[in-house]
Amino acid sequence: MRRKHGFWIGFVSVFRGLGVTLLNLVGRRKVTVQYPLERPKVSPRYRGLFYLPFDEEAGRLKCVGCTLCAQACPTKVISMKKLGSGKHAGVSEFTMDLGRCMFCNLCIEACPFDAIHMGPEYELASYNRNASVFTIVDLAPGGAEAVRRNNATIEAAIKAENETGGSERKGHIAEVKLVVPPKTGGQEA
Amino acid sequence: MAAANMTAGQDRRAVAAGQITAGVILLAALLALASVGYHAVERVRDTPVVAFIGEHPLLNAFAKSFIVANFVTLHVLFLIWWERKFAGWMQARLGPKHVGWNGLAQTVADAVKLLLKEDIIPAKADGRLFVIAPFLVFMPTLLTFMVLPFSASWVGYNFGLGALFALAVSTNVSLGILAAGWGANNKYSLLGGARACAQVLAYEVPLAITVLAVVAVSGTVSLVDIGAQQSRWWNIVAHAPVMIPAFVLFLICALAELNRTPFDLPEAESELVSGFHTEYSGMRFAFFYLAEFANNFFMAGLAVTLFFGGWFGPLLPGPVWFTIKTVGLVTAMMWIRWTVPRFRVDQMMGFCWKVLVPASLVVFCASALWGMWVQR
Repeated sequence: MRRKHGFWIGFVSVFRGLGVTLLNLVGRRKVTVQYPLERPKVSPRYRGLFYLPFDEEAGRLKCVGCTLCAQACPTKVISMKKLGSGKHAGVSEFTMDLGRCMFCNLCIEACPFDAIHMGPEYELASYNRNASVFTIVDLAPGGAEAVRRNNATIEAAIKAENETGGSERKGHIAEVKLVVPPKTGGQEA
Repeated sequence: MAAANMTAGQDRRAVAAGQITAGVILLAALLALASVGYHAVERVRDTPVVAFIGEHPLLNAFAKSFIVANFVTLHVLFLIWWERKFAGWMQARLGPKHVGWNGLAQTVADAVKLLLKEDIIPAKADGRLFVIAPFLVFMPTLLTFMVLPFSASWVGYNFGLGALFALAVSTNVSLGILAAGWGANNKYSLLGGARACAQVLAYEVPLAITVLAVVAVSGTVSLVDIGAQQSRWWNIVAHAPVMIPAFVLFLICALAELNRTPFDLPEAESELVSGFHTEYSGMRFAFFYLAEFANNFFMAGLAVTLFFGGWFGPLLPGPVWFTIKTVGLVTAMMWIRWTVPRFRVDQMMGFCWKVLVPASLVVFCASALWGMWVQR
């Protein structure tokens, strides 16, 4: 009796399987992305290449060189050179060796100024190890021009502060808000 | 974002619609071209030179062999492309896409690659058997195509015992497969070869009996005559009560004969690496592949001749109809191949001897009675 039952299950399931493959044949959208010709649309929260947001209003990178991201990084990807100090602090160099990076997002969560982000760029393969080291020029959205403006703004601010004696220090720091990294992403773009 | 997605989807649909339209137009053009080609060939046939070749026994044999050998080799290029495309579509992929229109030249590129590959014979292999095995597999295929009737006059050799000849010759494939399995000196190859031999020999029995059932209804063994009898109604329609079960049995046995899934035990990748052709590469492997697909076309063609009205159909000339039906049946076999999982060895043999052989005997007796009743 059990044997007979199994036979019918097998008999029916063959035709059911044929139906499934037929539905796949005619009714299903093809999932293939022909990569070099077509580009996949990445999610806005995709963890691709890092970038350092540029604050157009202030005319400088948001990064203040506090090294919290470098300390949070488990694989010591980040190294930076601080420029200035106090309320006008910034960075003149910011280097990431992505050969070691595992894209864990910890640096972004650590940043209190929302000054480092992961973008949609995913083609990070390179022909040698040095090419996976990204400097501040590669990471700033405007490239060398943005870095030049950043350095000029900070240096001018420091010079001005030295001349006036630095009275506005506390007020400026109070304006800095703790920014939680956006979970939905894409807000910078 | 949603809007972007929608336009992308519409683009995709537009592209797909364009592809389908292009495919339909291409198919129509191909059919028209085939019809024109058929009439051209028919006209060329009447020219004195061709008539002379046709009457000269040696030249005739040579010319027909040449045509058949070329057809067998070249149509496989299309079949392999079609199988890849079909499998891709079933798995929500695109299939070959880059070489030629929709990857149509992909198989040509692959064939060239295989032909240019280094010819490797394993050091401990039985060299002679290893070398000769692909040809032992390929030769029966060529021979079977000689009796396959593309129409009443488009047949390599109008042989009175066509059906029996085809069955007798196609069984010899197992000899080549066994030679390949033994000659490679590899335990997986040997297992594959032994399985293939057991399987082909076992399934040959119900296959032959089913073909005999058709013969009992038709009253002739000649494939051309069996085809010619179906000018009004296909066998499977005219003699439906006996021919439908006969066709089902024939299809199952043909799949087993062809070593195609669900009967691909001789080359079961997950168990035997790739069975009897594990050690083969380059041109010799290409020959196995060629024989496999050509056999597939032959078995489908045999089924079309026996059950589906051979070369008869409206509008288009006979050979074109025969090809359309055969490719359709090959596609159905592909459909089964990409759906059904593999048998277990003992189940496979048990299924043959305990189910198919008795069933085919019953169908044969029923067909004999039906034939007597119809003829009276």
